[in-house]
Amino acid sequence: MPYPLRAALLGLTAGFGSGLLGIGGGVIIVPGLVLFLHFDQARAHGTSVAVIVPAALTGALVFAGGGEVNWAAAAYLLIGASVGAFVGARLTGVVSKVWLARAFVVVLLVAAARMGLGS
Amino acid sequence: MTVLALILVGLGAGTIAAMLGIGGGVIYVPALVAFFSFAQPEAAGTSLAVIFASMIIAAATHHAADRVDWRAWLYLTATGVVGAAAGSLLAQRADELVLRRVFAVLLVIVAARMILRVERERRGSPADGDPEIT
Repeated sequence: MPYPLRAALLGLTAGFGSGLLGIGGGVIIVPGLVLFLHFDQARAHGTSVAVIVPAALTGALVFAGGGEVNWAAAAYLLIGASVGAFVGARLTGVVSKVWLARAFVVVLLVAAARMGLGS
Repeated sequence: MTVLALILVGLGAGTIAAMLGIGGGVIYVPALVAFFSFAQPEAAGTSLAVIFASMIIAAATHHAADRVDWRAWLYLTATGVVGAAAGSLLAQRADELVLRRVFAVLLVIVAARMILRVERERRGSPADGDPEIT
């Protein structure tokens, strides 16, 4: 399958999962970039973050239109998340790729447990 | 107290999310539901708003370190926006429980493949299906 088609297929799948389940889409994008498009682990994480921005905006606008965004809570969360976003992105370049992959797998399993066992 | 707790959740989730290339919804949504008594749709909506804003900062930081492939970004975004809109609309009428179970199984399979690949690479032998230059 040619690269543009594979990339487009991955984007469609990740966006769909993101909107449907209210998640950022990274749990689909990162493995997709690594296993399907053969990205380096750190570059997959960086690219995934950039893809999440417009995808999350689309989802957020739909939820906001339905009155489902608590703006006060979002503002407080964002105070911490802004600092965390900067620190975390810098950490991607410091932590070894093996440990980035291992940590990511832990997140995948947590996400799977939450999805599979929740009611 | 609630304000401080929200800031700390944001700090922890934002750090993990930016480092691992996820949005952070896997942390925000259950935290908002479990500790702050949010209903599921409100937790998802609030989570997406925070993800959008915080990941702009993370993306800029990754870009500065040359960790963003903008060609891939273009392909993924063009189709991702369409997928996200469709998914959000469908979420209001889908059988959520079935979807979640199927998605959980897929995640476990993906996790197994990722860990197999990284452990093989660590031992210096190529993972199957990878282009290998010798």
